[in-house]
Amino acid sequence: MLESTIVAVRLLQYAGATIGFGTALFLFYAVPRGSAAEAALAESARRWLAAGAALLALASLALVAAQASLFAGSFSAGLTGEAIGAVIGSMALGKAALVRAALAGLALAALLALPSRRPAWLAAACCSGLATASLAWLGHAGAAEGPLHRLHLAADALHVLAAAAWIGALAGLLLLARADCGDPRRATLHHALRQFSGIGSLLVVLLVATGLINAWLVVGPAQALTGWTTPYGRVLAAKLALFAAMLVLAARNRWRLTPALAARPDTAAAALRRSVALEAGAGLAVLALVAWLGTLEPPAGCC
Amino acid sequence: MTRIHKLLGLASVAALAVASPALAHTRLVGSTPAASATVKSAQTITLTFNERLVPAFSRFELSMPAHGMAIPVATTVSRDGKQIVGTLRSPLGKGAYQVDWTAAGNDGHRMTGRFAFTVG
Repeated sequence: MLESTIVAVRLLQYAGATIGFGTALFLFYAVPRGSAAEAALAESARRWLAAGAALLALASLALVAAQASLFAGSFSAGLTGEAIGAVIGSMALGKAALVRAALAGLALAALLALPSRRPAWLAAACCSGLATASLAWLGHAGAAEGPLHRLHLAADALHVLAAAAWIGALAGLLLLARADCGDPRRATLHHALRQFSGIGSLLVVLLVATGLINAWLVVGPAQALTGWTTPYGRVLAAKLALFAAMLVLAARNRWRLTPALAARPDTAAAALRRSVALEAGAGLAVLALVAWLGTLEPPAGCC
Repeated sequence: MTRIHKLLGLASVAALAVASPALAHTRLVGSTPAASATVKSAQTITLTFNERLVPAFSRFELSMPAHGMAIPVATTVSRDGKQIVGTLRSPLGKGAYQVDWTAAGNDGHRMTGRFAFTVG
């Protein structure tokens, strides 16, 4: 019960970070400045980004309470000032969660207060981006010591930022693709896809590189062949399989469906929308597996 | 793009060049009295772990299972954060004892364990 609460709260944080940072960043670079699409998007974008930032802030606070409950042994023992104070006072994880909630709160304030769209998107992406980077302190990198501590934190932070930027962009593409034919949002879809394609490739490179560094630091090369039989290894394998499926879908979107969108806008748009939705669904499943993975013991611990 | 590739390359090399400090969850690496040991007497019980603990949530309980009896023990976490030390008001009498420990790690995981020792 307590463990599954932690998993759920972690997933909510990832989802909030994905929308709050990734989608905000996508809208900023992919939607042409001053376009009709930008105006048409304004309200739905504000709602979605504000919801993402609010989710990230609330889930970060909930994480402190859930962590205190897990450590104290029960919700009744954990939801006390003493237990919550100990998580915040003595753990990097607790302090990082507070900072994250404050940054996400700033992003929310910017979205609600700034009248013009692009500055609000940029401010939200910056604040939520810092909040997203702080998720690195959530896991093993936050607890590690020694000379590789900083490398591990940096690799972890880059990994979550790249993941949020990728999956958040998919959510942003869906915001554009769900509009009707003739809507300016739909008309800008092709432009947005082309903007995303180069950035998407860079994100994949970053994800693979930082993922390898993290795997090396958390699991170690000695377990590379034998670790797959542990629960941690199996969940990690499932995550990698979903990542591979996302790559296949992304390649198909980029090299098949995006050119087709220019040639046959009507029929290709529906196929593209389904494909992006599928890729985003796989991305959400990856986030759920990562949330679960964080509560399992890496295989190095068994020997 | 190329600069990022170079940085990533450097980072990878740095990671590979150093022996991997593979991480594990908190676990007990030793104790006094040792697990399953028979000792002449004991007034202080020390549990040593592989990594720093979160003091507020790390403790142990002592009992005599044969008598269904809990023995009051005040536990503290040492300054380096890797030991839980329990001090008893008087030395333990002869008998079989059981230690049930709870250790909270900075990675957010709570581990528990149990071992027994005998005074006699």
